[in-house]
Amino acid sequence: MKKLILGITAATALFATQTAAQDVAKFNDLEMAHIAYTADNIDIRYAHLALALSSDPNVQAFANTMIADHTAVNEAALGLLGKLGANAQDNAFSQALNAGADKTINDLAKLRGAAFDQAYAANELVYHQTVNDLVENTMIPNIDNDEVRALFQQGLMIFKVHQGHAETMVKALN
Amino acid sequence: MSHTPTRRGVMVGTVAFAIIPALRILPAKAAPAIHDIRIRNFRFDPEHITVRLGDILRWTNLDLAQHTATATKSKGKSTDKSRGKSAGKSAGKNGWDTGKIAKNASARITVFTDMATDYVCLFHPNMKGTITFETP
Repeated sequence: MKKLILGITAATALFATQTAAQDVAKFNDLEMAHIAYTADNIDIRYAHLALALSSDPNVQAFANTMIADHTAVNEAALGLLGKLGANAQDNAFSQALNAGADKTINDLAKLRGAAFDQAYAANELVYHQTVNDLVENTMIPNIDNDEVRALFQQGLMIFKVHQGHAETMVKALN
Repeated sequence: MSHTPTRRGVMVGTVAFAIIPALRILPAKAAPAIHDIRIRNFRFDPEHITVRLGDILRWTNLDLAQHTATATKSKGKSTDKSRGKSAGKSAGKNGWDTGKIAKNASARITVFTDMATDYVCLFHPNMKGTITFETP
């Protein structure tokens, strides 16, 4: 079981590095917005899986928070893009994120009970660590538009809180 | 014709003199104060607040994410060991909960006797606040 959990977290950690982060640094703001929007939606998908498969009230509460917070960030992103008269641009990195998420969801969906809870929590921790590192060190320093950068900074603050919350959940479940 | 004060008149005067200073030193019943607590960057600001019975606590959410202010345990000695797990309910009859506070929205709670004094955001349990009752 431990191997499976590690496999899932390792796969999650890998997705962000397969399409090299240095490529993302060269992306324009609208491509980066698409990556952030995709990353939000992926965590919402993970959360819906947790609501379907977990009976642990703390895991369910965490999943509900992920849905609410990532939805709020995405709504703010869509609002800003609308104000700027722009659309997020799909790109190879977003597609790699989605491919990695599909695999993770398939793996997680095979688990039940405590095994699922532990794997979901571990994945949430690694996922937030990976995305936060990308947002903070690769995307934010290379965003041109001040309003887009400010929204990314707000999002990063929220996702760091999630990372801390996930860390607590991992410790509680192990 | 000289006016001689009667015994009754002296008594009334004495009582009046006794009452008037007493009225002066009695504190006027203060209007309930409104205590504003901003929720910003996933923190309650201020985190600690001192209140009197009947005051109003008003939380305003300046974050993108929705939050709550939800009691975690009863005032004074608590035997509650489920803090953070079933916040609000765990505070029993002393519990209180603002419910969801959306971005830029506010919620109020009126301070009541023996209300639970520790609270968290139900969605982000690392956000903590405390209430202290002002000593008379």
